[in-house]
Amino acid sequence: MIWALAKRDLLSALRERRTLVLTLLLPLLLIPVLAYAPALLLGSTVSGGLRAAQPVAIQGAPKGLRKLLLAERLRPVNTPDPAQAVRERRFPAGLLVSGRSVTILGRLANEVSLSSLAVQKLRSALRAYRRELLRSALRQRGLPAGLLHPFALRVVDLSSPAARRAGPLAFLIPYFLLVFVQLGGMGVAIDGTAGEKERGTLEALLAAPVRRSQIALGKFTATWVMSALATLTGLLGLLLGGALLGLAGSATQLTGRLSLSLSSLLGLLVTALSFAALSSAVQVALALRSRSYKEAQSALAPLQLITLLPALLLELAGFLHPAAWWSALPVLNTLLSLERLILGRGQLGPLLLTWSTTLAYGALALRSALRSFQREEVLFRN
Amino acid sequence: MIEVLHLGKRYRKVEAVSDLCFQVAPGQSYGLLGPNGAGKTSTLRMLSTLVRPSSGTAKVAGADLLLEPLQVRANIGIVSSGMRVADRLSVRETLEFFAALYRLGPRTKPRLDWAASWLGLGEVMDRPVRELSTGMRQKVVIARAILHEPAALLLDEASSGLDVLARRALLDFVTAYREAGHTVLYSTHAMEEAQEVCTAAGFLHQGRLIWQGPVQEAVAAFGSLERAFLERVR
Repeated sequence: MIWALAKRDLLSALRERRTLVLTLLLPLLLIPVLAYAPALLLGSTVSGGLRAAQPVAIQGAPKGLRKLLLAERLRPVNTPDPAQAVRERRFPAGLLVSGRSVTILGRLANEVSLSSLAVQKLRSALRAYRRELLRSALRQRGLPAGLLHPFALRVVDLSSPAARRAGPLAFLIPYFLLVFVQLGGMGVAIDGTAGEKERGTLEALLAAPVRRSQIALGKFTATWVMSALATLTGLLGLLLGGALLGLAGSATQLTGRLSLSLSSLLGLLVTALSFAALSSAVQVALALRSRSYKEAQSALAPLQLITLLPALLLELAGFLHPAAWWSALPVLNTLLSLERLILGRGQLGPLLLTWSTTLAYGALALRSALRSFQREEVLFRN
Repeated sequence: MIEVLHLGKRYRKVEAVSDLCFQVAPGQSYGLLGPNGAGKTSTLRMLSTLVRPSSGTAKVAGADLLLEPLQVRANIGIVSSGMRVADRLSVRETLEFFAALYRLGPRTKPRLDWAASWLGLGEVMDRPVRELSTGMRQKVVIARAILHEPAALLLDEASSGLDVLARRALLDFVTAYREAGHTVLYSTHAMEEAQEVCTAAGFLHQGRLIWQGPVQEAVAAFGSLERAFLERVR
């Protein structure tokens, strides 16, 4: 009976083009675009900037330094007032040499800009110039150049291959997935509750010989199924996008690329689907209390912001030491588990705690929805 | 058979229905008449177990409202003016869905055919409800209410918003359903409709039943149900 009720809501939802686009097509297309495109675009812009020669306003630069600037792909242009020229955006960066004082000029409010790239190149040229001056001074005093390098420095990245592959996606994917899980179910949850009240179709259902708890569970099931579909299409989009990037040999070190082991993929699915259960129950409970479709939309919109806050916390996860009980905090536990799975660090204990607590919160929300279905002032509020 | 026993409904400080008692036998059509706000919709919502009575109870085809709400819902079919069915499904899908809720099982197809032929829905069975006229949509709402051939049919302002043809079809259907031996409770503020389709009537005013009896008796005494109602209210 519950499935018959859910099937009718699903059929009704799938016949609405808007729902189809929002639930299935959008995650499939938008998640990969959101995850990969900005970094790819940034990557190609930065590498283009590295290859091209930027003009720099200079004053007082010695000949040796000018040569090094050219080697760094900079085009030095003698300018009477480099600071003014950079401020007026005629040059991305400038260099002022006055005796033993060297000043680099740039507009650095935005970290990712042509100016910061030119400043980076200037720094690099000046480091090389300093080395050259030191080497020449040592030579004049008959000392070996090796004095400049008393030890060899090497940085080794010991993060897991999965973490290296994922890169910045490890933070982005959990957030995107949760947003699309919520978006996926939202339309059905609202349409099946506040929408039904508004259209007058709920009354016919309530007059049928089925328990109200069955109707509530049918609404929840339909919402969960759509959330699950959105999760699957989103994941599919990420995996396909990642595979295509890998095949194309694109700059995945900048974007990261989702490539999961089977166990991580299964873990990811269970985590996302258990969150879909929580999200669906909350959406049905909230939407049912609304008088109209619009009111329900307003009631459900803040849920996305609630996801954003722990997602921001997740960005700082590298500086934090998540305690075991964090796996019991709603939403944050899901985000943490998803991130760990993407990084190849998923452990059964925290995962089990995440799944069980998320389902428990979902059960509480569902209980609230079931209670609302018993209250005539809620059902006939419109 | 519908037996209403001291039924009452209170919404916070408002007493919508008070101490309501009446009976409707099989083959009888009872008009629950009164102006807007008289308590008709509250009464029908209680009888269809959509809302819970504050006092009293009722029995519908032997099932008690408070003790056997599921059985009551299985025994009735209700149609109200604001009631709609999902408009993205076809008529057939809608009726099959309700047939599943009424657990018709293998009887689904013959019952669908029966309802469709009775209400003239045969040609639109595979069309989405949203493509139908208001009158045809109302027929779908009625079809879903009678699919399981309920012992009691409850209609609440069911002709509201219908054009003259659709209204005529509804009134003819109500008469035919009563003549087939079913119990009909017809709630309306349109007295002339009740005069045509009802065998008995009750006047509801400010939540209380101020008169009830055979329609013919009221018409004989006052010329029409409307005049009878006005005389009682004054």
